Amino acid sequence: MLFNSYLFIFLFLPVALIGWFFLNRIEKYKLAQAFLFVMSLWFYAYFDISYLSVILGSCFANYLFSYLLTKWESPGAKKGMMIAGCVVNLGILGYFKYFDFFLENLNVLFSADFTLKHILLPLGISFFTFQQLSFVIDRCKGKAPHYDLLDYLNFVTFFPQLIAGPIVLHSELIPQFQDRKKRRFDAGGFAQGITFFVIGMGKKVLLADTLAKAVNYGFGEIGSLDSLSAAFVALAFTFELYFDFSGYCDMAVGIGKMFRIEIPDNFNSPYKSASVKEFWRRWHMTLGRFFTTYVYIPLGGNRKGKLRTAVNTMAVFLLSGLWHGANWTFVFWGFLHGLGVSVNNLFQGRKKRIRPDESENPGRAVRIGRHLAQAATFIYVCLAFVFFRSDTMADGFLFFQRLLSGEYNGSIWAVADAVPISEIYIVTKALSMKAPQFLSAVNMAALMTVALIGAVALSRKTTRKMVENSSWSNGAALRIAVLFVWSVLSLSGVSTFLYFNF
Amino acid sequence: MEGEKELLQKQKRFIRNFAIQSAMLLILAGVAVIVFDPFFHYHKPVGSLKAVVTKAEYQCIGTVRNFDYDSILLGSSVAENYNNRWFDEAFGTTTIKGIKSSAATVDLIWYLKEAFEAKKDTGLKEVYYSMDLFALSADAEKVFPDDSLPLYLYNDNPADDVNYIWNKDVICEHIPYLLAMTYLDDYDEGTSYNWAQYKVFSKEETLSHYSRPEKAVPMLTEEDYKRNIDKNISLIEEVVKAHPETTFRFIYPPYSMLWWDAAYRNGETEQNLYAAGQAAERLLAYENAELYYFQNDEELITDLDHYMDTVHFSDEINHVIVERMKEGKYKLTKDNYKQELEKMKKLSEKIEREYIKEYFEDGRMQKGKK
Repeated sequence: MLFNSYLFIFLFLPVALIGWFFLNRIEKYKLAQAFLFVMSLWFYAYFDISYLSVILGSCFANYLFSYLLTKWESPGAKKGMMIAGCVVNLGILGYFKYFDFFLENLNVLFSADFTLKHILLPLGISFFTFQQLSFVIDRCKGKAPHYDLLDYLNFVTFFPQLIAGPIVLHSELIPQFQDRKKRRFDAGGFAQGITFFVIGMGKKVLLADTLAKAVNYGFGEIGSLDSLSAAFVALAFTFELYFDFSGYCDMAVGIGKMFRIEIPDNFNSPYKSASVKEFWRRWHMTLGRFFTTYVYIPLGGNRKGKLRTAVNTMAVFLLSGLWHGANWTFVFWGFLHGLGVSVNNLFQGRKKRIRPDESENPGRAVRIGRHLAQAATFIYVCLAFVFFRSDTMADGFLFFQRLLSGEYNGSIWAVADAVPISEIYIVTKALSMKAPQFLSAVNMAALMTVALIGAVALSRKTTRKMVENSSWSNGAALRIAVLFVWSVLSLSGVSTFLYFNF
Repeated sequence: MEGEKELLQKQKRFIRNFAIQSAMLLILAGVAVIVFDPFFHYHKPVGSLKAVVTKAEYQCIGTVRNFDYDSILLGSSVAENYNNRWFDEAFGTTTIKGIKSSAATVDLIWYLKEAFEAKKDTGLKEVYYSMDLFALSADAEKVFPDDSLPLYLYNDNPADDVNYIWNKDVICEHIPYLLAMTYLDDYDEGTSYNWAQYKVFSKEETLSHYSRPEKAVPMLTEEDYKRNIDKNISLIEEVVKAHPETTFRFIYPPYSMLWWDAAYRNGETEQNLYAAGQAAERLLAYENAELYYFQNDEELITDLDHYMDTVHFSDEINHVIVERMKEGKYKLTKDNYKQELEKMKKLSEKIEREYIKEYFEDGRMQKGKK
């Protein structure tokens, strides 16, 4: 089930909230948790019921590790359990996500002919695997207790963060489930939750999904692009990805707040970063935290010299790339970011760091320097995303070839025409009948307006700051209601059936 | 403490206002869609609104279930350019269309059964059935409607109507379009689903859409296609038999000679002739079935200026078809259908032997012909 669906908004979420607060109100605390667990399973199984066995198997296996650690406490046993935990979790992830990728590469490398298994990838497996991996490692290091089963199951399956993160730590979530003071409805949290959810839905449904049409067209017709259209498509994808993912995370945080469960932020205005390194402190922050805590630092972090730091950094980013998808395009994207961070590390020691939140009034030169660094970082991130979006490495390089061709063939107009915007349908339809020569210009103006709204939204405060600073006035309620209804109406569309063969 | 209380009051008011305002806006949107109902899911056009019908996948089922009519025209995009009024004038009916692009027999029979169900009290006077040969060879066991269609318009589940009543495209595009076509345009309700006005019909256009199979392959044998075709014909036969009070007029549409050339090179000529022949043989056994065969009109199908691609002909041809039907011409009978199909077979051979050479030599397009 998606957050941005009628079923979720008008049935699932109300039922989940009413059930949760009702059962807690009559002090059936365990039953409330069991109810929440069942609702989360419904949410998850709605995509495909066969996924249930995977997530439940993974949950119970990790809980068993935790239980065994209460019996076997020797350092050797803990070490063995940590290895077993990593092997089991990464094994499950590897099988479902990377097995075919592995076979494809073997086939290419050795001219072999292994048959691909076309394994159905369970949704969110990357997220709930990492979440549980962090728990098992913490258990083995003595940093986590053995939790009550329901607490644990709610930690892994709590539906707002189940399929697309954020990657929440046990220490963040479970104490909140255990705190019975948080089991009562709270109007303040609920109002904040609504606002978070609606802003997130607007980002996802109105901005990301509209920009996606331009991006899908561009990446479907790479060969026809010129420098201008390729640049625009790359920029549009950079916007789309942010609004899509951060929108989803805002919705997750909002739903969490409705339940009085705080879910950590995943984004903090990442495109305002002045270096690739800073970008990773602001982009998908919970993933960055996971890799830093459980990979980078155990590898030695930056404590073993510059070369080792660079190697560790690159290892983390290559893994991060692979985590995003079983394709060399993601690995290469990770490599580009690893390279960017390594270069940042190299220069960091030579000059004074420009901090993002310097409170003292910086000098003009510093401000200009920071703006230039922000622009350079944004362009670098934007270009690296080309590989993130490309289906193959060849497509990625072809995209760059078109981008750097210096050609202009007018394909930017085709990109604009590929983005029908129903809000201006009356204008475009009238033009198509009476003055078709102006139609493309209007489509272009509409697409640029969407891109501009995106740019303005990116330059504004984070959703959290907007929520915290809300006046909760009647006007604010009306604005959020209009945004909500506009987003709801955008959940369904009318497709054009293009086949015309008979 | 006072500040906190005040904040909490504000937040409570925010929640209440948000809920009320959202509900009001959603109700407003839903009511507008239900009243104007551009896909005719709930009712036929209200008041002076016209039946503006342009999107078969979304509107066909609504028109079949909710319009006033006594006859239905079934077919694929080849049938979309008929004006319903031509049939009404020719046969004294009130006709709507049951159209599905690339329709298989299963699809059309499903719409036909829906029409009989909708008119179970009065019955149907006439069924005009555009008999595409490809539809007779399509999968006879396919599921229709499938999830490529907006199922919320097809099923009886009122809950999933949210996809319709809270749909931005419906509100921003289809309601304004309905209003504009009703009040600002001289929209002809008989032209439901017509597209001919947006296309160019010419030899050049037709040839530009033809990608000739490189080599001719051996003809498929009866074993390859008989079972499926027979099943499809049974689906049609079953309905004809069940409704003796209804006249079924089956129209074999005239595809261009390029279509027959492609069929020949793909080894499908015999298959197509078998489908046409079997359908004729079995349906002619019923007194309430009439068949009209336009496929072997040599002058028509070899003149590519009537077409926009290998299959789709201009609306002028659609009009001529209805006129000829009215005159009782092009009719297949138990006595002549075998000769007519033999004529088609010979014409197909002549296309390969003579006509096609004007455009293609050794499988390649002649220079200057395109």
